[in-house]
Amino acid sequence: MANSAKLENDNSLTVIEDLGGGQMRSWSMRADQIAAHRKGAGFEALLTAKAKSDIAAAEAAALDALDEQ
Amino acid sequence: MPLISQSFAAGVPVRFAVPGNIARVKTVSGGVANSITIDLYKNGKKCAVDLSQVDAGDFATVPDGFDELWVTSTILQNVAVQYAVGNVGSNNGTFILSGTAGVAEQGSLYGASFASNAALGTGNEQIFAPGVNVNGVAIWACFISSYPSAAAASTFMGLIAKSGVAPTTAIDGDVLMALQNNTPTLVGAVANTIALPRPIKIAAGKGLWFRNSATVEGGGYRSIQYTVL
Repeated sequence: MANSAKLENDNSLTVIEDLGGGQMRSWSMRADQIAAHRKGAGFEALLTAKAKSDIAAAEAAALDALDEQ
Repeated sequence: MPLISQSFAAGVPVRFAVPGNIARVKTVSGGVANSITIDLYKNGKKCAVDLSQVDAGDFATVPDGFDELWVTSTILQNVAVQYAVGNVGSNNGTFILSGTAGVAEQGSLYGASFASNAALGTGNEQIFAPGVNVNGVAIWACFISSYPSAAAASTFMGLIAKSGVAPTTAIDGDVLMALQNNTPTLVGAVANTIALPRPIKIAAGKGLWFRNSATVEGGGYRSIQYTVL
């Protein structure tokens, strides 16, 4: 599994970080929880640089879609 | 109130498996009057509540509650629908709270989830920072499973809430869960598991961390469901 970010049908956001060797971390948050999780040193600050780079485009697209609603 | 907000195609019902006893149309984008119909169901049976051909601001209360709702729009548009458990009302967009739903009563409505199977060294794994927690956070469920990287070693896992900087010791903050896993030499590494016994609310301003205060894990599995209030 690779690093990924996906906006689900209910507008929740799922982020999976692949740390290698079968080790992973995942975050999922309902649409109304996303803004809170991005405050200050939010969950994005926890991602490795590679994960952040890998999912940046997907996450940006997901959040843009949310903003448009 | 929890919110469903998304685009709906014309004439296509969309099902949401959410529990509540009030449902309200918050906003519609299309500018067509009475373009929304919400059908409420409980245990597969349609509730005797008519929310057909309604508009923003219209709502219904269902004394016996519902466990799913179907939203249908007559046109392609963005619709926001609120639903909740408890005594919640609204009038022209201003909510009047006549009661407070307890943490346990909202147990199935967790808003966020974090999981990790990364082997944790001596140190922390942040779930959320204090800055995220402005109004309190309800933790619905959490479990920790852990085993050390070597026999005759131990892991000392905790779930710790704390304001300010991350915890630096096993008891630095509010220790909501603790698991000490000592592995006998003859047996080798064995995982132990602990689960949060009941939902709990963390005070505003506190962050939350998993912490291992002993030997690096050989492996671990941690999961938590919570809602930022």
